[in-house]
Amino acid sequence: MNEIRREELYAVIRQAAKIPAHVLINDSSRFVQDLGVDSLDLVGVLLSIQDNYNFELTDDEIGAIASVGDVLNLMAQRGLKLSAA
Amino acid sequence: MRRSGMNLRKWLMNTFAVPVLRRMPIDRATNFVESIGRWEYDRVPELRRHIDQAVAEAAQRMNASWDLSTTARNLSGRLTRWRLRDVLLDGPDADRALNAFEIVGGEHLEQAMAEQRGVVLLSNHFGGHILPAHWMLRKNLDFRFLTERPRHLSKSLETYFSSTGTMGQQEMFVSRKKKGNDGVASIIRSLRVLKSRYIILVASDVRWLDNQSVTAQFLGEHWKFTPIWAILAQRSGAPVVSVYCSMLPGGTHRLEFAEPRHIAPNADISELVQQELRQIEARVLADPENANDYFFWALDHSPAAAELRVITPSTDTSKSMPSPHFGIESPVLRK
Repeated sequence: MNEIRREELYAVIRQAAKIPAHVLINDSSRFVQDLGVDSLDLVGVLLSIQDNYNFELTDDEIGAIASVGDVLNLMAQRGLKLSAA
Repeated sequence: MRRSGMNLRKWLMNTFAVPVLRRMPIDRATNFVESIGRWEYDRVPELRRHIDQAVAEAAQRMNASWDLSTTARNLSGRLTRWRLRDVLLDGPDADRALNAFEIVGGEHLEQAMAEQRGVVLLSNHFGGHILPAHWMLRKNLDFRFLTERPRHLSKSLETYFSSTGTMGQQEMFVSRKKKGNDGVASIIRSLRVLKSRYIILVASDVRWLDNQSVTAQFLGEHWKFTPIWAILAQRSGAPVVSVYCSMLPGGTHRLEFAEPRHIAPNADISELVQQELRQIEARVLADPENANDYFFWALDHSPAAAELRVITPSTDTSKSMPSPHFGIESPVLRK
C-alpha cells in the first residue's frame, strides 16, 4: 500500500492554490470558507493532487469535496494510506 | 410566440414534414423549410410583430442600416431552418451531408489537430450552431460537445451523443441545475478529454451563471457568460480555433475556421470572452439574417433571463442608452 505524508499533501494544496504561509491547513480546513480557494483554484488543487498521487477522481467525488479531509478520505479509498509521521 | 404554438409547430414539422423533406436533396429541403418560416411571418401577425420588434430594437442598439422588413422576414425563414438543427442532414450517406457544406479554412483545424494537444473548437449561436458537430461526425473526427444536452437532433448525432464512460459524451453534458463542485468537475473532465487529443466543441456565447461567470457586453446589453472555453485553453495549452457556420441562401452552409491561437497563462479571461463576443457582433452586423435567437434576448424578461442580465448604467434600457461598442451616442448623455 502506498503511503503519503500529510504535510506533503498540505504543501501540494498550498502551492496549487497559492495559499499564504500564515493560513493554517489541516484536515478540517474547508477549501472555500477556510482557505479562500475559489472554484478555479480548486481545479488546480485537484489536478495537482491527481498528478502527484497518480489517481483520478470521478465527477461525483469532485462534486462532493468540501474540505481537505474529504480529499484524504477519497485517497484512502484508493489505498493511499497516510503515514503516521 | 407562445410555447404551445411552438410545440404544435415542432410536432407537425417532425411528424409530417421531416420524413418527406429527408427524401429531397438537402438544398431543396432546406429552402422549403425557410419558405415555411417566411410564409408564417407573412400570415401570423403575432409572430411578425415579435420578430419585427426584435429586429428593430437590435438595429437601433447596433446603429445598423438594415432593411428592417426584409431582414425580419428572412430571419423568420432562417429561424425555422435553425430550429431543425441538423435533422435534414440525417441519413446513411455521409457524402450527401458533407456536400451541403462549403469549408473555408479547413487547414486551420488540421493545423491545430497536428499539435496533438486536443483542440478547443470555439463555436457560437450565429448561424447553424449544431452543424459543426454534424460535420465533424461525418468526417469521423473525435470530438466532444461541451454544452447542455441539445434536443431535436438527427438520429446520427443522437447516437454519437449517447456514448458513456470516462470519455463519454453523456458525461460532457452540463446542467444549469448546479450542485456542489459541478463546474470544477466539468473543467477537470474536459481537460482529461483534451489530453486524449479530442476536439472539444464549445460555444463562446453561452449565458451562464456560476462562480466562474464573467460579465461581458453583447448587442448593447451586459450578460453573464461562461468563460469555460478560455479556462480550458489556458489550462491545457490546447489551440483554440473559432468556427462560424453561416446558413447560406441556397440551402447550404459555410463553415469558416479561423487560424489557431493559444491563450497565454496570464491572459485576462474576461477580456478574452469580450473579444470573442465582439467578433460575433461584427458577424451579426454584417449578416443579421444569421443572428437567430440573439435578437430575442433583449425581449426576454423571464426570471431566468433576469438572473443572467447585468444591469449597468449603460445597459439600463429604460434610459435608452445603447452599447458604446457601436459608437452610438446616448440620448441621456446628449442632454
